[in-house]
Amino acid sequence: MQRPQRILHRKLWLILAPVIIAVLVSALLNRPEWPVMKTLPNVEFNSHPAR
Amino acid sequence: MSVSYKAVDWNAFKKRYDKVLICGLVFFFTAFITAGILLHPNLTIEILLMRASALAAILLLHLILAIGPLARINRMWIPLLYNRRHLGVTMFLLALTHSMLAILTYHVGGGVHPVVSVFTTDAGFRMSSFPFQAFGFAALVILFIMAATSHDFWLKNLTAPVWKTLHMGVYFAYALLIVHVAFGILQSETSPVYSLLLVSGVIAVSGLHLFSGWSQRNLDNDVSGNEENGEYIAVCPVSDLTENVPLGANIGGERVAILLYDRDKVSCVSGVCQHQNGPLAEGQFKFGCLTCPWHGYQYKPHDGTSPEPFTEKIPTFDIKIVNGEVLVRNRPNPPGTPVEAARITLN
Repeated sequence: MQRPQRILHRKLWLILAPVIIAVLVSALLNRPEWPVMKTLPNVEFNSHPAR
Repeated sequence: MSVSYKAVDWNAFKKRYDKVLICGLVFFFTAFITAGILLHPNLTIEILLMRASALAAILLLHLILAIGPLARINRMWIPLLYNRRHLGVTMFLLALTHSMLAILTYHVGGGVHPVVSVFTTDAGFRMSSFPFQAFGFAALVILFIMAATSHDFWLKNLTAPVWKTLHMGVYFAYALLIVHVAFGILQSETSPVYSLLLVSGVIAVSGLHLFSGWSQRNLDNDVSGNEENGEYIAVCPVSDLTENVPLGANIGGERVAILLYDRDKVSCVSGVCQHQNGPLAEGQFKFGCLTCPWHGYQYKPHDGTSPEPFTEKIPTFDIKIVNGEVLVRNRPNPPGTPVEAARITLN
């Protein structure tokens, strides 16, 4: 690559990489609950045998 | 190379490359659909094909994006770079198959035109109605433009710098596809495997590009400093040169390749290949020519021209040796200009 394109390439990835990762993480954090989570016992409820 | 127009300039390596690609895809589709039929018997063949083509396309896109930086970091990846455009066109065809199947399955038969339906089915900004299909469509348009202009005909007519800049559109297509997948299938997928795969892929591709850009930044430091245009610049001591191994430097803002050959001759040419702007300073000296590591384009070191019958030319640089230092003029000569090689004193 010639110099202007190398610099453009570096700048593009400095911007794109955090944006893509942020979008992906936010999509995964806001998605509906994973089915496997629903089947886990409620820890607080089961933590005390006297309950 | 460029001596005449051919649809595809086939050679044994390209044929082997494409055979491996096709066999890999046949194996992938067979394995995916067989597993799908066994594990999810309620899914139709159209849905399985849609998912297989989508997964194959996104995996191939990650591979395509990783090849460039991997080849800069380690030469063992260079053979994969050689025919990367065939991977790109195959990836576009897989994405096209996926989109056609999605339109036929979900958007045909309603009162709205199928393509319009792609943009109106999900048109909100809540997670449940995010318009992820529009992002996929936009990515497909970019990939189409790139696949359509991937031939050497376009590379030659647009010139390598314009072609390269145009093909950086793949990075935007990648970002759009990540949105398409993350807000599409991953919102309803019950297994976390695909999410983990995508997160790993994004981190790997981003990390590789950032690392390769960072590791190459020194080569963009101009050694000519504040010297006036046309001055000779001290680049390195003669002792840094190894016979038949090009040395890269940056002079006047552009990369050059300095080569010691024929025992005592030293020449300097542009370090940027005319074909796809490949790094000539990372190439080899073969058959009396500096050979690009990407696609094998060759240039004679004393005048920067390709051997007959090829017609490519790269700029040359005036060069001399003074007190054991290699000095190069910080202004390139027009492409193909013969320059007398400097000579080192042999002991």
